[in-house]
Amino acid sequence: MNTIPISKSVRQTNKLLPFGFVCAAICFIAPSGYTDERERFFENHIRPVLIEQCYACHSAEAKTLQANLRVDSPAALRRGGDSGPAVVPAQPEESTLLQALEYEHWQMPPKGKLPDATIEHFRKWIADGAVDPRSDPIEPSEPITANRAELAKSHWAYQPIARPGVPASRSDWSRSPLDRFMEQGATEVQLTLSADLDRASLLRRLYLNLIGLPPSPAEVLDFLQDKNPDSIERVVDRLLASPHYGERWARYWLDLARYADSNGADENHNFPVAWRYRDYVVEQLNADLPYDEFVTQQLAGDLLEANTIDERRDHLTATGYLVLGPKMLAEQDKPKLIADLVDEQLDTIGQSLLALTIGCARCHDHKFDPISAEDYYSLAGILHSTKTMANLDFVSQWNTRQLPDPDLESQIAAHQEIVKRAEAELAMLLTKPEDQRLDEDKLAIEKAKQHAETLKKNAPRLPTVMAVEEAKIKLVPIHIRGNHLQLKGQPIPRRLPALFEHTMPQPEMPEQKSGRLELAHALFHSQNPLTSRVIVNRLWSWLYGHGIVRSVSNFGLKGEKPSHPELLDWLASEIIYQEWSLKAMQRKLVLSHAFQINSIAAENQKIVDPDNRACTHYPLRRLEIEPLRDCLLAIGGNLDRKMGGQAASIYGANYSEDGRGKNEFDALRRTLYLPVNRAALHELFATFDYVDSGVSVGKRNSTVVPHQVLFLMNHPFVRQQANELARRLAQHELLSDTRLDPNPLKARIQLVYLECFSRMPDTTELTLGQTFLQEALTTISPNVSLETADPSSLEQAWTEFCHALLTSNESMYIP
Amino acid sequence: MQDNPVGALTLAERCSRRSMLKSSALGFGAIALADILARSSQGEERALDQVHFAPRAKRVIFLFMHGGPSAIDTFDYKPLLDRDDGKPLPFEKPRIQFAQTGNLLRSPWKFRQYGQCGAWISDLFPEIGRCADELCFIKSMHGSNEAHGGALLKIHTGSDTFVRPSKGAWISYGLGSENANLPAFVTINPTLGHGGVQNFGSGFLPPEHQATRIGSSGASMKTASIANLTPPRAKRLDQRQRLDFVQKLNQHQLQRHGHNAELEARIESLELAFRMQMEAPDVLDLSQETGATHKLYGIDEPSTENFGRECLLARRLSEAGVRFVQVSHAYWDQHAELKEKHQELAQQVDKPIAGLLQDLKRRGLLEDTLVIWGAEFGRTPTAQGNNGRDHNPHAFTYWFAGGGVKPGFSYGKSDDYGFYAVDQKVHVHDYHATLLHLLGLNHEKLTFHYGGRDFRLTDVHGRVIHDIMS
Repeated sequence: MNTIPISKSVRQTNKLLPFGFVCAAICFIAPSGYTDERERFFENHIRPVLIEQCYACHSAEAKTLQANLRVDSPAALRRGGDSGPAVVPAQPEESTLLQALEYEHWQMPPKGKLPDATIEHFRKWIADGAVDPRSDPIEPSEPITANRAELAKSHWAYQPIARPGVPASRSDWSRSPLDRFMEQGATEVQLTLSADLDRASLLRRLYLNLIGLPPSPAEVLDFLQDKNPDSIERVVDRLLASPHYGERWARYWLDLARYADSNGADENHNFPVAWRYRDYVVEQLNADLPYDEFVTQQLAGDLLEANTIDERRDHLTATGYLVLGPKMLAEQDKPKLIADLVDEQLDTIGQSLLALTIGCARCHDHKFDPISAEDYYSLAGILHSTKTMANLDFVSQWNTRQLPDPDLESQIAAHQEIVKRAEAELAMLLTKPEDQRLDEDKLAIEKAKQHAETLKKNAPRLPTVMAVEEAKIKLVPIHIRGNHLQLKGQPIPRRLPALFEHTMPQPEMPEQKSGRLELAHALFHSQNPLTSRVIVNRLWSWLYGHGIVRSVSNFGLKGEKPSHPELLDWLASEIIYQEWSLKAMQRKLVLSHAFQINSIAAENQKIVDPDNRACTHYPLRRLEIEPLRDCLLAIGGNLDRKMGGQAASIYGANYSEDGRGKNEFDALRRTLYLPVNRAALHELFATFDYVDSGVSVGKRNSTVVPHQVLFLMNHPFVRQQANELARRLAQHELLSDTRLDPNPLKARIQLVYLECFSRMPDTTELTLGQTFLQEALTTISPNVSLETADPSSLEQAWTEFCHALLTSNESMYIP
Repeated sequence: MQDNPVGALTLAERCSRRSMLKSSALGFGAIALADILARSSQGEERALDQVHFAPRAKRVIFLFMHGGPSAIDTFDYKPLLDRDDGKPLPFEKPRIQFAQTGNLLRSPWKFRQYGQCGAWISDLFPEIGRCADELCFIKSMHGSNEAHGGALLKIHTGSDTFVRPSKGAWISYGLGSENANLPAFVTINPTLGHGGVQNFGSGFLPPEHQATRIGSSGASMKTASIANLTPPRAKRLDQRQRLDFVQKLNQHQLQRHGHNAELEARIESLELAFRMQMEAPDVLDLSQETGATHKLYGIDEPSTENFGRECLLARRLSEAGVRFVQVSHAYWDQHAELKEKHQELAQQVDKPIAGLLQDLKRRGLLEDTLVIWGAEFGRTPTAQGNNGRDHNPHAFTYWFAGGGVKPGFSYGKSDDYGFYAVDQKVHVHDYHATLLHLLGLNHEKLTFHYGGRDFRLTDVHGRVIHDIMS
């Protein structure tokens, strides 16, 4: 991984953060030209011959790879194939490649010996060290199989989790064990944590983080007056109990689960019932379903015992997690469709639940992490034994299942009886021979036919969900280079990757079942080193903008190391003590003193710790598009707080066909409920860094691009919210509140600040505001003052003012 | 645009203003690596000196014919197909086919030779035919996916298996924008099916490399524009007046908050948005072109008007410094009605494309602008019904013009009937490698680290076709 000198400044502007990876390494583009004469020699004399004469059978392009030998990669050439190393640098006589060219033991290329001059070029090239400048992006330069076990034993993320002792408190600053770890981290780099955030901003920080909506002006004013020592705690408990909490936090999970309302990929079919999975996530987070059950239901809900019908419905719905990925529905090579589908599932499971990049091992052993191709195909066997597709027709269809509903089922049964009767009536009429039917008979038959058809069409149906079921057990062998047409050796038994073996036992895989349930149980085995570390790190990252381990979906050797390893382990063991309650953990996090410090970086913090790894100030962070749009709606007084339900109805039926359904802003509901159309992702989503709903995303980018400002400046939706706020202002319920300035103009400015930024303006801002309002008014209607202007001109001026606040930076950030 | 502060400058002058972006690392289209390196070492105008090779082209216009026009009815002349009409294909059909086809079907169109180079082109494209001496054909293109969605993703992103950045995004990432006030990658009327946004998305590359979209398949070019360019109308209140106040609020927040790189970046971004709002409508405004130019692109004729506008817009964007402009035209999927529909579709694009080539040439832009014509695949020489052809990813034709390719040249061959590429085969990955090479980028070195490894547009494949380069 090359770094370049500018990467640090780039990182500071958050510009180049790829999903899930803070350490954005961009590869260095070397100056042009060959590094030396030997490279030129290779390019002129060797590479063209290899391509022309050998690639057809000995490269990734080969239909069937011959002799396990590839010559399109330097590492593969050195490693060789079935006959040993093809090239031994500086030793032409040891190189089987040369022997073959010379038609000694082998004869290559088969259609005829190459000219002597060409063979001499190869001899010289090998003798000169076989310099081969071709990059080897996926081939390891050396096989690392031997080191695999060693790596697993030593890498931090694969170590058992021991509950670390809590450092002693050095001051009365700390309120919790968590604070003491943070204090210790700061002390280690000789920094102190920033001062406390002011109370109004703290309230805004809590609201935006926990429910994704701003506090109302009254809530801000009340909180500022509340002198009770438990005032913050009460706010936190209220927010965690709010149904809006689930709406805010579901979005994070939906990113991980690559949730969407259409397939994307090649055929962008609607996912008309995906929303049931989305609602399931919202409801379970609101109900604080323990994380172990939450995940187990998503991997294997269909295999769980349910106590109630509702539970059974939830269990089935949860497995949508496995079905939601993009699929190549029109791929005509159906075994490839399945192999790609399993790969997509494994990649999602690996990254979202374990921060393991398992997907890398599809084509070869993982280049960096101790995950072998065998590990990959052992897990793949579990998913090959699971039914995700309903059929493999020309355009294939994903699997859905009916949700049980006893009331509806009896209705359906009753309806079927009615249909049967109607059909019997029709059959009766039809018994009369055709040539004897009178006109009235024909009419009666026609009527009876229609009646039966209408009844059938209007039959009540059980609701369906995208869900998996068990399939025939199918173990798979290693696919050479991930190609389902090139299999190697015996089918691999199902198991966890070997790296888990040094902390926990392998699960027993049942012969007659897919093993999904066993996989889920293994994730929550008390000695599993990854599951709890990964989730507490995510909780942290969703509250702070970055994790204790910043590469939130990659805990491998190329991922980042934890900034506070002991804190991470303490939290990872704490969540188990808390019986996997996510709310209990979030409560601890936001009530810590460390969470309540301000976001101002002191000079020495910037110098000593420019990336704020010690988290000595709270990282200022831009709102994602969902809370950003929701806040705008709330400020405009237009937010429709209805929860749940189908997304597609918002747009009209055609949305995924051409992306040109109704204007999305017709829907005033929370952004979570807008359909996510993979092939025609709404421009607003893309503009604000929600760019890919087809892969598991652990952390969205936060870019600064002008399209974002253009949206805020010019989109009629934003203007409309500004206008509604301006209009509301005239009759605002707090207008004569004694806590506001007695001057009505100043009071209104204060109200706009409370609405937009959840705080009171300072004196400078009051002055700036008054000046701008007067200026705007003068332009709109010359020669009038704020006191004498007509209501329409005033409203325009206030709209300008509100719009300016909504366009400014403060409206986009969590303080 | 009376209040446009830059209205007095010519388009070219405006486009050469590279303003503060160069020093602020906040390019519209992004931070191209080469840009950053150039800025840190050389300052202005040096971006391209840092690429891997001397670039032969600085920008690309990709004319994408969605649905898959038939190569053997357009640019890949097959006399034997004429002779053997109605006979069975004398060799095996592929292992996997999209649909079943019957016997060989001759082309309904006559072919004739054009220009000094004597290229055979069918009567579907008489106007393009007259530009034959500018064209460089590859008649041995082949891919690996026989369905539209997979093939579109393959041509656009190099992968029909995984979610990957599109080639325009890679080029934006590699080279950045020539014009700080415009995006580096624009797509005009793309389809939102068959992969949709993924075909012009940024995948794991930073989001600023995704395409800015103008319209979508079938949209009228009279109204299509970039989103959110027009400020809300209010009585005489100037946008600048509004922004000045916003900036005062931002500065005040910054003072309250203390130095913060991201907040400062946003303050600059607001200025950039303002400049873009001033400049982009100007670039998008086709009425600034003369009547003769409109005529050249066929904008005066109803059947060629819309695609003519797309091509003219592509030229203006390209001229203004957009690196990669894609223009899409649909829908060339003639499983039936080949004769009627291919005729109709070809007529819609023939004159506009010829107009584009001539216009670029007379402005001296063709030298360093690469024009590419192609689709996701071609069509089978064997018939579907009696007037249709199936998808054929095993052989199809692309042509290039301008930016560093041999004019009046043809590379590669398909078999006697045009079913399989046989000679000097060019895989989609090879096409990508060559495209990047022409822009000065080494496809093996243009990488991005993601999910544990370095990724390339060409994955582990790709061979540069040096033979087509001038």
